[in-house]
Amino acid sequence: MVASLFLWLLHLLHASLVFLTTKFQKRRYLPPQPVTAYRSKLPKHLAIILVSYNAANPKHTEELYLECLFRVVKWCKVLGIEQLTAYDAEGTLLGCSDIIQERLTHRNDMLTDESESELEYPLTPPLSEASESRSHSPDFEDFPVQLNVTTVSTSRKGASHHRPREVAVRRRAHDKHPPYNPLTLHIISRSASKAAIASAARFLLDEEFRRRQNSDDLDHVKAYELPISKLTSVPGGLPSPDFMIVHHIRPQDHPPPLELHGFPPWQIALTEIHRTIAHDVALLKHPNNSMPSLITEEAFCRALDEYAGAQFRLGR
Amino acid sequence: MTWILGWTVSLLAFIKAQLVTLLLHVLSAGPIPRHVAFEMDGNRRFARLTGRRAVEGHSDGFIHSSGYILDPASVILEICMHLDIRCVTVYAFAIENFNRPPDEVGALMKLAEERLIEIAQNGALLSQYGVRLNVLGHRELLPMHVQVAIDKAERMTCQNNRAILNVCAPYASRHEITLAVQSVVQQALDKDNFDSSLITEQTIEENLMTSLGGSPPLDIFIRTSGVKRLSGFLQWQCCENTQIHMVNTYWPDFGLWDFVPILLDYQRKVWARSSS
Repeated sequence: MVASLFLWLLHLLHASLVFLTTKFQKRRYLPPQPVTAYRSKLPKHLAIILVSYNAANPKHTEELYLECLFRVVKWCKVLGIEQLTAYDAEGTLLGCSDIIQERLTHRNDMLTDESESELEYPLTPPLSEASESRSHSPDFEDFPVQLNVTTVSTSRKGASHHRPREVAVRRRAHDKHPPYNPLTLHIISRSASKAAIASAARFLLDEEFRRRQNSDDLDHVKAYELPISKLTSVPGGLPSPDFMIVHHIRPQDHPPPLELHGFPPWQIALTEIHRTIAHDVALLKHPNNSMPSLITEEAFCRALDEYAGAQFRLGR
Repeated sequence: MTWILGWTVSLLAFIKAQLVTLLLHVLSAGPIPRHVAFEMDGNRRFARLTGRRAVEGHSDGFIHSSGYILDPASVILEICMHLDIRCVTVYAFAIENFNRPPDEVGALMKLAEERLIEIAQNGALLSQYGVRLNVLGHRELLPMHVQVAIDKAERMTCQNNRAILNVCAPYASRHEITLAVQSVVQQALDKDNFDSSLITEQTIEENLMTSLGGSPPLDIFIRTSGVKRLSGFLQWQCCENTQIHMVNTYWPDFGLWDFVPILLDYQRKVWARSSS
C-alpha cells in the first residue's frame, strides 16, 4: 500500500517533468527547413503509419487519414520520392482505396492543362472489399501469396523530371504548380504484415509437398531448407522503406512511446523511424471537443531533416 | 582526515544503494514488463569520445556504487532481476558485424569467449537470480572456441528457471524468421496428413528462436546511442504491442535513471489498457 502510494507520487513527478520539458522545448522550438530545401539525402521509399486510438468515430478517422495521406503524397511528388507506403493497422485506407485512386486521378487531371501528365492506372483493379485478399503485382505471378495491398502509380509521360537530389530545388515566383514527379503508392494494413509471411509459409509447404510427390529420388528424406533469398522475394512483395513516419491523429500531452502497430516486420530491418511531435502538427477543433491532428509540412520537413542527418553503418 | 573522507564516501554509497533498492521496490508495486530487449549501441563512439580505441569501448566498465567495477550489461541485468523482469534479450553481435575490421571482430570474439567462460565457471549473477542463458543466432558462423564456450555456459544454466537471458549473437531477424518458416514447413512435412491452413502467424511465432527458448512476448525494446532503426533486431517480436525507446545515451552510460522513465511509460500503458 505504501509502495503503491510512492509509485503514484513517482508517476506524478515523472509526468510533471515531462510537462515541464515539453514546455521548455516549445520555447526553444526551431522550425525545420522548408520542404524544398537542400538535404544531403532523401528516402527513395517512405512509409507513413497513421494511428488513431479512438475507434468511436471511424468516418472521421477515415477523413483524417485521407487528408494526411494526400498531403504526404503531394510533398513526396514535389521532392521526387519514388515510393510511398501508407499503413494503418485497421485497414481504413485500404477500405477506401477507390476514393484514393479517384482523388489522385482528379488531382492529376488538374495538372493536364499545363503539362503532359498522364495517369497510369494501377496494374490491378481496386479492391471492392477491404477483406478480399489478392496479389497486386506481376512479381507475384510465380509466388501467389494472399495479401492485401493496393498499389497506385502516377507518372508523367514525355516530361523529364529527374532531378538529382543533391541539387536544391528553386521555385520561380510565377510557378503556380510545382513539378510533380512519378510516385508509386502502396496502401497496406495489418493483413499484409505477419499474415503475409504465414501465407508464404503455406505456399512453400504446398510447393515442397508437390515437388516431393513428383520427385523420383529420395529427396523426401532430406531436411527442408529455405534460403533467406527465397523468402525475401515474398512477404508482401513490398520493398523495404528507407524511412518511416509514425503519425498519431489524436496526439496526447504525454505521448506514449513509439510503437509500430503491426507494420510488416520483414521490411523494417534498416528503416529509419521517426514519430511526429505534437508541436509540429495542426490541431483541429472538433465538435466532440477532441483535438485530432493532421500532419503538417513542418512535421514532414522535420522528419526529413532527421533522416538526412542519420548515419548508416550497415554493421561496420 | 583521509579516513573521514573514506568513511563519508562509503556512507554515501551505502545510502545511495539503499535508495536504489527502495526505488526498485516502489517500481515493483506497479506492472512490470515480462520481456525487455536492449540493443546495446554506442560502445565505439563512447570509446572515441573518451579517447580510447573502439575495441576498448566494448569492454569498458564503470565503478558501481558498491565500489566494484561492473559492465553496464551486468548492472542493467541486475536491475531487471531485482524487478522480476522474467526475460531480458540483448543484441550482442549482428551477422552484419562480421563486416567490421578483422581486428575488431577478433577482439569481440575473444571478449565473448572470456565472458562465456566466466559465466560457465562462476555465473554468480545468473545463479543468484536463477537465470537461464540462451545464445540465439547463427551459431555456426562463430569460431569453434566460442561455440564451445557457449555450449558450456548454456549447459551450466539450463536448470535455472526463474528468468531468461537471451544473448543474440550472431543474429539477424530475417534469418530468425526464415528459420521459423523452415521449421514450420518441415514439421508439416513430417506429418502424414498435413493441412497447410493450420500454418498461421501464431505457428511461426512459436518457432522463433526467442519463443523456442521460452521467452514471453516482447514488451519493451530499447536502443541506445540515438540511432532510430532496429538494424535487424527482433523485427517480428517488436512490430506490434511493443514500446520502442530510442534513447540518446550511449550504452556504457545507460543506467537506472535512463531505465526508470521507460518503466514508468510501460506502467502507464498497462493501466490505460486495463481502464479502457
